[in-house]
Amino acid sequence: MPDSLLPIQGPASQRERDLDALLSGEAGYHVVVSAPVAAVIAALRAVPAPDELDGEAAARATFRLLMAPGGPRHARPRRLVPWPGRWQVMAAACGAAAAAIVCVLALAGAFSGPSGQGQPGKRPSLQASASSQRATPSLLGSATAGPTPSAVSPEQLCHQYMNFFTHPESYGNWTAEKGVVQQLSKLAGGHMRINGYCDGQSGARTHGHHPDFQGGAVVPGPGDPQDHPGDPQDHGGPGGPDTPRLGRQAGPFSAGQTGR
Amino acid sequence: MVGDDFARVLADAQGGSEDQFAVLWRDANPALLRYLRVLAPECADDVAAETWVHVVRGLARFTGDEAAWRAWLFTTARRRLLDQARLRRRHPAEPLDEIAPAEVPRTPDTAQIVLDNLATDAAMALVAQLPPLQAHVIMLRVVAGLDTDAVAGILGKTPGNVRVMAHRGLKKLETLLGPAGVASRAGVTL
Repeated sequence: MPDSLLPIQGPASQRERDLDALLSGEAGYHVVVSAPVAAVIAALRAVPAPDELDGEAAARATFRLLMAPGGPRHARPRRLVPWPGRWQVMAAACGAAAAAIVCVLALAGAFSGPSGQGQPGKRPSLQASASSQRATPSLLGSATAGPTPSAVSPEQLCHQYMNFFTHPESYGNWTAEKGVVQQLSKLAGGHMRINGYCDGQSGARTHGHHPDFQGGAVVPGPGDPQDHPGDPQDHGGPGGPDTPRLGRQAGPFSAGQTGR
Repeated sequence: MVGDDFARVLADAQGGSEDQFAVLWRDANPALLRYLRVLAPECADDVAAETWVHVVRGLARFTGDEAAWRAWLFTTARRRLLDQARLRRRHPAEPLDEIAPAEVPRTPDTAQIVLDNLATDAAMALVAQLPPLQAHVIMLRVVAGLDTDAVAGILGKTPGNVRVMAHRGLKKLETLLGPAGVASRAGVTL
């Protein structure tokens, strides 16, 4: 092999191109190497021997193992995959929980009893908003602007009045009591006639029902605890449909009954 | 070489087609084994298996034509070869027994295949006597079918260096062969 085959910088010489063609297996090159070297190169390019293809089964098995879904190639570090419905479910759960809490608090506020009214400073805010904001306007309005029989019936006023005596824990609600007393006083024609007036409103049904007042000369009892003062079936007065609700929510009797 | 169907075969293999992967394997594995048997005859099969494992793992991410595919395959093989050489230096091992290769006739033209195989073995044994870098260049150029630039990229050399190595390798082969050629282990003269 002549040394002129050594590659040089610049354009490839003919011999260099022939050498490239020889190594690449291309035809049409001039003989640039001896016959034995050409034979070696040809032998290196011989057809595959059987043992060179023996590993096909193993290669296929490797391919199946690595390319199969869930195989090592597809294994990825576990990460939090976005779940389309996750936020909806969480929102629904939070909404249900919030609704449950509101219901519990509303029930607690509605049936907290006169102890809450007797201790205004200790009442929860929700209870105050549920009871006093609904009950107070009619009572306060009647106390300040005069009697409003159309708002609260005389019977209910009498019940509330008696409840102040039957449930001492409600004494602290002086505003409501004062309003009731003023209304009844105007209806009865004086403070001294309230008992008689209420006695007449309740009729014979109230006589002898309440042990606290049975011994009294003029103070009638408020009736049985089962006798709901705000029940529209018993007291379908002129107060309309709101009146029983007010009686149940803000009335000392109903609240006290539940609280016990 | 796979030829014009290479893009389709590669795409199918990347999509999980085992048969198309076998096409790629049958086309490239003989050259890969010859390359490795020249440069690391004691662990050629193991390195070839490791090479295919790495290739399959990266198959889905590969893009390129057939030349790039073969360059990638032999680049992977060379890296595994270097890893294996590093491992053997750290943990030298001596084989307890040498297993003779089985010679089982498998095709009708067995005689010709045996002759070709013997000639190939003799040629590979001759190339294995070259300095490693020259043997790399000869095998990558002749057996792997890579051009000068691809070989230069694999070996980290310039194309001019590759040409020089190829020339020196061929000259060395001529010296080894002598005027009468080379005799194989079976007595077949090339």
